[in-house]
Amino acid sequence: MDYSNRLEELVNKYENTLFRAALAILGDAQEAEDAVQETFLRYLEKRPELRDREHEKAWLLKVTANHCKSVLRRRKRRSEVELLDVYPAPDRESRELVEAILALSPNQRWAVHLHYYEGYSTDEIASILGQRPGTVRSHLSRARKALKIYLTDNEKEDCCETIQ
Amino acid sequence: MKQYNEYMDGIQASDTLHRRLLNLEAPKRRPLGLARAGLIAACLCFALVGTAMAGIVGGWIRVSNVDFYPNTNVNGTESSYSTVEIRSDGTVYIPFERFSQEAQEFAHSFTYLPQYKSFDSWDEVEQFLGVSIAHNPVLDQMEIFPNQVEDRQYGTKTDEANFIVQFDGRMDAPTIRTSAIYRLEAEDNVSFRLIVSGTITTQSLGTEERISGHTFNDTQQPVTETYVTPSGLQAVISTARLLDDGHSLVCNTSFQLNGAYFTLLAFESENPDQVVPAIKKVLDAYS
Repeated sequence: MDYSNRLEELVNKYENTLFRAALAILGDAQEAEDAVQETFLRYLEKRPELRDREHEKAWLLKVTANHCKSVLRRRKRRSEVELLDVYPAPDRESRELVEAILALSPNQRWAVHLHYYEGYSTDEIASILGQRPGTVRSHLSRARKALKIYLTDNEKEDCCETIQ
Repeated sequence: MKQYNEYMDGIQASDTLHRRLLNLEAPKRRPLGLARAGLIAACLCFALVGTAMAGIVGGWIRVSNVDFYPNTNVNGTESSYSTVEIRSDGTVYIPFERFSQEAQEFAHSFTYLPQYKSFDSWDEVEQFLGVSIAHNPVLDQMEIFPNQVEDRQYGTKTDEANFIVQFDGRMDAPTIRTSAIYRLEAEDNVSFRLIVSGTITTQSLGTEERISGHTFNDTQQPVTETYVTPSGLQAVISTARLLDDGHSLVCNTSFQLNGAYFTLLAFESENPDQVVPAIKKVLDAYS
């Protein structure tokens, strides 16, 4: 397989997906861009056999998640970053949402993004993040409590069904 | 989360990032040669003879490959990913019918999600399973950190327990995992957390070898050692120092004992040189 040509196809298909996911967890656009770049570098290095579209997306998200975890570990050891200053938030409502999201733990942010934005089930999220499904459900449960004003009525009611 | 989704829909990767990505080239792999002195310990291999294994039923285990992928990130920081591939006796398993009636019925009671059961002591675990797997008087004296058992539907903590046993997979031949977290005491009042897990396969893998491994993220190159206890138990010990400080140590140990595949995981930042000797003391005490 020509991985260089394949790279262009994957970049066009997934760069926004990976950038949004990395931004959701890191809260910093520059670090999120670095995370996306590291993911595609890892793709070129590992040359994985990806059997279908779902597998390739999950693989890329998994690598992005692992890189973000490393960034967060390093960040914790150095100093707290003023995330609110670097997270894109064009208006007041968005800023309030961003503040609420950033108040969540990184694991909760990942769970929220992969479940509500990317549409993954808790088992799929567990596979991507290398966690147990029960742990993911716990993160989602706590995140929903914190973000309840942003949930629709349907999302509030069917929370138990959607997290099977 | 309509508002969140709308917000995220408005987020796009920059043109600068797009151009950078399209111009990426595969990083060159550094060969893992033994000429890199000081970074790889010689892999100690012991030939097994019948008398050496007479005191303990373990099974052979060895390191088959080590891969180390260092990387310099675009912001100048270092990162890495490593795997230590391990091969071990694939014929080691405990047939499901050898377990207690209670354990078999418990395994049959779950549907598609893993089932957990919690216990206060290792003796209770073996009593429930109905098979004797391992005894360790060194660990028996150590303090245990409570594990958490999570509700399988709602992800909420329902129980704290010292030992957790998980049944996973097919009802007639599940994989059984046990886990516990110890405060392992070393010399000079040093202690650290040790996560001990054991995996029991209840049917033959159908191959001569089990392939498993240790992985490390953001560490220096791993160092591996095959350690043999006085009673003949073989274990693979992999250690690696964190890239961040070049000092903190991650230690992964694997061995097979009486039909179970055990993993010991420890991390220590202040007194890392005490980890491996303490792990070896634990290994020596297994029977």
